Amino acid sequence: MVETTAWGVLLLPVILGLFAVGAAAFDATLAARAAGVAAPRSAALAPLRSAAGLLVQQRRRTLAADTLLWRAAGMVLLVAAVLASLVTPLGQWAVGDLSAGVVWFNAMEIVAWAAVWLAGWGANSAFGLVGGYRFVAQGLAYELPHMFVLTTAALGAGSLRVADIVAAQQDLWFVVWMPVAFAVYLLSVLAMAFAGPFNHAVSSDVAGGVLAELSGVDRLVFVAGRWVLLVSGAAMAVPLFLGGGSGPLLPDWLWTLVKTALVLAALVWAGRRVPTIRMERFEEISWMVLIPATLLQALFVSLVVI
Amino acid sequence: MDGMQLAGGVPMAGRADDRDGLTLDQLHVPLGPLLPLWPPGLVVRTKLQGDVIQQAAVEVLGIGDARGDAFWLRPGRPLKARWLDASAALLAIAGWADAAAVARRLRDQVLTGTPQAEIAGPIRRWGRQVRRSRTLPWLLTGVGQVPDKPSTPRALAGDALTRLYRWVDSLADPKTSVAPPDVADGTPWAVDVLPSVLEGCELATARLIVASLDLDTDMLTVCEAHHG
Repeated sequence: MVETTAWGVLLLPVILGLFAVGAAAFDATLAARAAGVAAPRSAALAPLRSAAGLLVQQRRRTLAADTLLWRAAGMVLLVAAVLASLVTPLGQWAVGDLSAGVVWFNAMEIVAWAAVWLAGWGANSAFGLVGGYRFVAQGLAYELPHMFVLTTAALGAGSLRVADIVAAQQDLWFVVWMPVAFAVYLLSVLAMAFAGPFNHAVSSDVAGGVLAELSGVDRLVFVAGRWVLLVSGAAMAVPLFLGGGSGPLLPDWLWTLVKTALVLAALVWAGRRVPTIRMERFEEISWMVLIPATLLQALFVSLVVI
Repeated sequence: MDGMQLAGGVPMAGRADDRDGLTLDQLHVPLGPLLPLWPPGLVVRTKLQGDVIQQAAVEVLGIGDARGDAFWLRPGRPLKARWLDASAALLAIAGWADAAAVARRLRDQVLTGTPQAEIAGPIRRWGRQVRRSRTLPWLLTGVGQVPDKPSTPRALAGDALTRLYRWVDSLADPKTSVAPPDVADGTPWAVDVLPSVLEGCELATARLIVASLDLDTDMLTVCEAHHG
């Protein structure tokens, strides 16, 4: 059973923030190791150092920028990323136990589409706009497989309530009999947080794309929102496929945290091992391979449930 | 200027037919002369519709003022280091930051005179990792295919993937890996074919193409000096 807690509203952003900082630190450590930096451990602090730098950096202006929408983009991304986790249970507590929790999660991460596109549009810069449109194209590639995968997990439990999905995995975790759905879910989490190898919207070939002109606090809020979105996606993998808080010895809230950390670390590690996948190639593999595969998985699950 | 809309004092984009015959906004966007992972001084003046390059004009700035002294032709700069440098730039543009970082580290080690025996192993390991990637061929095959003519420099023939693999294989080969710098450079030829190769490409592909052609704008100043 999942009970809702009011004080969770205060705790949730803190937990998400800590995970986001941890993920960024792990990412920076991996980068430093590849570059052969003498002390990769001190590289773990690099994200915090650059965050401090961004806090005092003066904002860069561009000609005829759409300032309101541009500044709003980062806030929208961060708030949507936090709200997405509203329905994710930590052990037996969740901030909100909505009857259509899976739909809520999906709706919040789609808000990110608007946020990223606005960040690209607002700067009135060619590279920013190219980055923004790349993300919209990426959305076309990952969103359908992503939704089919969410549907598959809901089908397995016969409910859109996240608590019911966790309860349905008491005997057998969904990852065991829905491995395709789980794999595609992880891929789509990387894509929705435009993390590597799906970072074409912010890649270096367009000088940072959406991020090209973002500076100071605006940049900090946007980048933080991106990491929190990755955390929210990784955290949702636990109730959807990994049995929620179930596990031996440890209390269930701790199991949830451990599983989330493992999924997150795997995502960050895997994302660095592959070159950036350009939109036209992603589109191809998404429509030719991922969509049929997820549909077959959904069909298989429906037959088993019947 | 009455009828024209102005955004911050800049006229709105004009329109022109795109490759499918649709009338779309056309932006004039220069790439270079200064961009990360871009040959210094190279300017590609593009007409963009969306992120597709409709037209490209190439020029290299500052040739007249240069001293005719190419970085890669100075003593102690083996070809091996240049291949690593070119591979690092291409891998970074392709979005594989870690493999690029390793290549840059190895390049620096070669330039600071690390003995061949010590560095051969790490270079081979890096080369194996690059050649083992299955995503890279999927992303680079057919990108920047240059016309197969007698005038095409052998080092630049094929597409971006062929060129990357050529550098990687040459680096692993003990015979070629001690080669001296190459004066017969492909850069003048590459600058000539660049506009025709870039036209119709997306921005992302264009960046990959430029990186894969290993343009060394220093070499143009040397050629200039040779011609008088």
